[in-house]
This record gives sequence, C-alpha cells and structure tokens, in this order.
Amino acid sequence: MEKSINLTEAFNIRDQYCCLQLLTGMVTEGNLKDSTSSIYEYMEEIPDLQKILLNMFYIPNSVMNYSESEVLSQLIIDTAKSSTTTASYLTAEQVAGSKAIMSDAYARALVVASGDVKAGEIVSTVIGKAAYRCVVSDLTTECDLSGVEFALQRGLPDTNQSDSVTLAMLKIANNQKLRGAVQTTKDVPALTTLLQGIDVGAGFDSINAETAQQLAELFTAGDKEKLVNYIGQTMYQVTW
Amino acid sequence: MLLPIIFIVIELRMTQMKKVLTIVCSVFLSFNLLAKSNTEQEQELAIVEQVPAACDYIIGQMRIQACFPTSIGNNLTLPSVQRSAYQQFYALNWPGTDNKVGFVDLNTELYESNDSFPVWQSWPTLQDFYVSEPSEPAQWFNPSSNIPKSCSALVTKNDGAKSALEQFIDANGDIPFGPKVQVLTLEKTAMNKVIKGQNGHRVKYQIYMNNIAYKNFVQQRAKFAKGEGEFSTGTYKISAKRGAIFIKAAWQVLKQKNTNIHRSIALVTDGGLNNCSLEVVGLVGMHIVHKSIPENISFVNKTNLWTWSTYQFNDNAPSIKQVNDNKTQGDWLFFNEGVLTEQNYKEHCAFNSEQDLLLQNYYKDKSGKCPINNPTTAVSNLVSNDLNDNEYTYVNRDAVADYFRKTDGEGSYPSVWKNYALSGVQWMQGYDIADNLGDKHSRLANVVLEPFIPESSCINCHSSKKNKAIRNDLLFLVNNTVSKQDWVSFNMMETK
Repeated sequence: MEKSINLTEAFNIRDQYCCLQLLTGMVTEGNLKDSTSSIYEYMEEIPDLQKILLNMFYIPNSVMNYSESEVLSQLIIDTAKSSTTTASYLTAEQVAGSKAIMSDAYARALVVASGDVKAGEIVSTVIGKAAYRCVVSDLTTECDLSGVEFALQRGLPDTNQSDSVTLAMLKIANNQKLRGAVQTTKDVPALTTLLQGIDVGAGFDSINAETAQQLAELFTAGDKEKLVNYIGQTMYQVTW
Repeated sequence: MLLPIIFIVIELRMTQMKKVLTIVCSVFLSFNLLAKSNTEQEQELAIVEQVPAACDYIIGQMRIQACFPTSIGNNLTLPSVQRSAYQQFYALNWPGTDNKVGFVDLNTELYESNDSFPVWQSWPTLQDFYVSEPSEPAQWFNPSSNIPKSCSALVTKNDGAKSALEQFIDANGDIPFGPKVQVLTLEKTAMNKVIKGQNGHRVKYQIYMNNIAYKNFVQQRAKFAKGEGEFSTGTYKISAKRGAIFIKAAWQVLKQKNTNIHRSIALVTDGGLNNCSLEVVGLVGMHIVHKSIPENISFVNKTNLWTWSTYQFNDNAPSIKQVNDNKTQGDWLFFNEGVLTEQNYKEHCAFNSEQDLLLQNYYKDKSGKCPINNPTTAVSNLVSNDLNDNEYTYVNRDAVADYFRKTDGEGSYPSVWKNYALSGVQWMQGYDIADNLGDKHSRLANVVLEPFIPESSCINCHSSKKNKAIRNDLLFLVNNTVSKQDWVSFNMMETK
C-alpha cells in the first residue's frame, strides 16, 4: 500500500504546481520567456543573473491563487489535518484567499539546472516530473520518480502543439473532474477526444488529434519514464 | 586587460624516473596594439570572432546590438534559436568600417543612418576562394577581391581620369560603400531557375563567408575536394569560439530611386561573366547559415550543428496571408497585383483552398498558365510562403520593425533594416527537424531564393540522399567561378 503524504510533501507538490504555472507564463507571456531564456547561458560567469532569474522571474511568475486550483487547495486542506482530530487546520476560505508560491529551494534548483551545460536533459526531466506528479499521479500518496531518467524522445509535437500541451497540463492539474477523467479513461479514442476538447486558452490552438492520440496512448500505457520524458521535452522545447 | 596572457602548461611525464616535470611558461602577446587607441584595439581583438561575442545588454530577446554570442548557448530550444537569429541579423548588418575587412564600427548604431554598409559585405566570397585556390589564398582580412575580367575596363583609370566605378560612386553618393565592391555573377536558384523582377532584371546571388569558414576551407582543402570537410562550430563554455558562417545574399538591380531597401554598388555580369555593368542593387533576401549549435549541450544532432535562418525584404512580394486578406496593393519588386484576375483564379491557378493557394501552383498547375510563382514567365510574380506570418509570433513582417521604433513613441528610426523580416529558422533538435513553426516536416523558403519549391526545406534539401551533388558538412559549396582564368584581382582600397 502506498504511503499517504504529509503536509511537507503537499507543499512539495505545490512547488510542482507552481512550476507548471511558471511554464504557463512562459508560453502566454512572450516577454517572460524572452527574458529568462536570454539569461541562462551567462549565469555561470555572471552570478548576479542567477539572483535575477530567481527573484525577478521564476518566483514571481510561479505565483498562483489557490482559488484557481481546486485540486491543490483540497490537497493542502486534507494534509493540514490535526494529528488528533479529523479536522483541518485550514478552511476552504482561508486556502482560497491565499497564494501558492514556489519555494526558494525548488526555484534555486531550477535556476541551477537552467544554467547547466546539460540543461536540456535536467530541466526537461524536472518539468516532466512536475507534469507527471500534478496530472497523472495520485496526489494523496507518495510518488517516487527518482528512478526516472532522461531519454531522448522522437516525434515531439510541433511548436504550436507544444504550447498547447504545456498549457493543458496546468488546466488538467487544476481541475478535479478533468484530472479524474484523464486518469480513469483507459480507452485511447475516448481519451483522445477528451484531450482535444480541453480549452487551453484564448489565442492558442486546442490539442490536435495527432498530439492528443500520442498523449492518450502514453497516459493509458502508464509508463512513467516515457510520460515524464515526452511531456517534459515537449514543454521544454518551447519554454527554455 | 587587452594583453592576452597565455599560460602554457607543459607536463613532461618521465615514467622511468617517476618524475613529473611541470614547466609553466607565460607568454605575453601584445599583437602590436600598444600604439593604438583602445577602440582600435578592441575592434582588432573582436575581429578574431567577427563581431564582439559579449553583449552589453543580456536580458531580453532582440535588442539591436553590435554583438552576438558564439553559439546559441546551453539550451537548444525555439527561444534560443530564434533569439540568435535576430541577434546575428542585427550584428552582421552592423555598419562596417570604411576601410577594413570584417571590422564593425562600434562607434555607431545600426539604426542611426538610413542605410549603411554591413560588415558581412566585406567578407570574402566563395568565388574569391575558388579563384585563388589552390595557390596560397589571400588572407581573409585582405581587401583584395576578384572581379570578372569583363569588368576590368570599369575599374581602370584612363589617363589619370577617374574610372567608371569611381564616377559611379560619386554619382551615387547616398549609397553606402565599404572596402569592397560587390561582384554579382550568379543568377540560378537552387532549382536552376532564374527570377526576374518586375523591372526585368534577374536576381543575382553571392555567397560570403566569415573568417572561421574561410580558415576551415584553407586548412582542409584536400578534404573539401572529396566532400569530407567539416566546419567549426560555435562553442559553449569551451573557450568561446565562434563557428563558421555563410551568408547567401540575393540582390536585385534597382532601376528606380528606391530608398527603403539596403542598396549597394555592384559590378554585375551575366551568368557567363560577360557584359559587365555598374549597377545599384538592393538586398532582397539573405540566408545566414551559422554553425552555432555547441556539441556539448543536450539534444544536439551531431550530423547537423547549423542553424538555418532566412530573411527577406518586405516589399519583395505579398505573403499568402496578405493575398488572402486582399492586401496586395504595393510597389512590389516581384509581384504585380494585376495577376490576381478572376480568370487566373478560376482557370489557370490551382487555388483549391486558401492555404494551398501557392503550394499548388508550380507542381500541380500542369497548364503552365498560372502566372504566380511560375519560373517560365517573362517577369516573376511571386507570392511569399511566409511560414509564420501572424502577429502572435516573433516571426512576422513587423517583428524587426518593432525594434526600430523610437522609445519616446515618436515613430521609427529611418533605417532600411527595419524593412526586413525573419522568414523562419530551422535546426536539428535531437532526431527531428525543428523550426519556428514547429512543423517537423517543415518548409522554409525565401521568396527570392527558393520561390519555385513549394516544399522547400533547408535541412531536407541539404541532407537529402537523393541529391548526389558533393557537399561538405551538408553545404553545397561548388566552384562557381565558371572559369578561374576569367577573373582578375582588384583592390578597391587602392581606388579610394
């Protein structure tokens, strides 16, 4: 039986939600992506750029209202329960009025990864794991992705579709019903249709049939490593 | 700071004696720069890498600066490649100094003047290399270039009087001029076709190379002859070396006073090097093929470390989108809206749908009567297949112009360079061809370089196994001199 998570782990998951929020910002706000992307190659020789990336771009753009995510809100409420009673320390109203902000430690690790000569492998794996955890995994139990390693993928979606997939990840992660449907639909054509129907946001294409089918096959197959790498590299190629 | 110090550490391992002798030598190289001003010294050192690799402003995408990094950096992604495409466009079009090959003028700005002589125009051409090959080729920095013999009379002083070239320069004082006169003889596209502008003149092509490419050529002459040559690639975190750069430029003779295009003075011949004339030409398109993907980062495909970027003059021809939006009015160099007749729509051109409008024509219009993108017509009526001509991307016809807007909101700078656009980029990302649109079977065509190839793709063409032509490191770099004996050396600086 999988071990239930505690509040510490819930806030770790919060970091991964914030990571998807940051990625969403990179897709929807061109200036953000331009700024962050231009910094990476200089960070080693100009350490101040790491501070700028962390404090001016990554953390501020990872902020998400809890009210935008019923899934994350409920997770925090559920894991903030008293050890002696079944009541939570937090009410739904309290959580909804607060904001999820990426932790300094997670953001720093992302900064370091972004400046690495092998940033492509490290970052794509980190963000792929974030997507897997927030979209695919059971949030109430621990999920060990430490054994998932980078593997170069073939046939990734095109640029517009990669934008759409990136946006869709947070949409699914935040929506209880949609998230549940993605996890429980085991019929590939049905899941393909479901994914195509996600409204990823104004000005962006919906996930097309080809990409949706690829994703549906991956989701139903449940291969952690394949999912992390495919989604991670898809998102990385249009955001970093 | 400007005196490079090279520490050479020589380890002599003497195994039998089990001793390690380390000799540290410090060599101070002055490059004879002590007598020069700081600016001159900086430029002279910078030229080792063509244009400074270090930029004053780092954060942000496409700021206009006289610099571009030695490689696309540590992330092989669309944002990185696209940023690099703009950076190199601005930096390589930076004004060169009047009298030196390959020097950018760091005391000026790209947007300050209406037009300027871009530094890449001073680079040696592929023809320069082949004319001098296989004898010891001229130094890359040497201002001597080669001109067809048929042009000799135009550059020769007659009894002390000014040559025709000098007189032409005087008569066209508003046209920027650098250390070399442009020599334009090539007129066939990659598909062996010619493009004829609305003024009846054929588009001419020239290939220029940076000093890294030139050095590679010279040092690997035997290998290149067999198709086994390999160009240097830009590095990341390994002593920051720039990679090879080729620029293929498309020029059009201008017969009218057209001042919104980058102009130059050129010696122009027909394809057989005959009938040389002095002409004012306009830059209508350019490819920048830059080996800028470092080998040591993730997702590289070591068989193709080039980034392929192409740029075109906005008034060449309307895009598909402009045709579909009925925005075809204009003084196009390669299009006359008179061809958009109902008869052509209904009978001759294969307009099955809006998006297929142009792709259909060359291959599917068997009648040959459709005048659009048809290589057999008396003058060319081209419509550009801009891959990503929409306002939501950085690759559209206004993207460059946006950066030439004055920050005080008082309009734009007068520079001609704002009238150009990045048409698209391609590169290899892992196993796949990637581009700004992300179509893995991507097309990328410049309207004045590949107008008659509906499925044009830089990488597909250059890596195709079907084409048996010799290539080195994917590039077709054939000897295009026609006959080496038909050329003579010419030093523009002696004229000046």
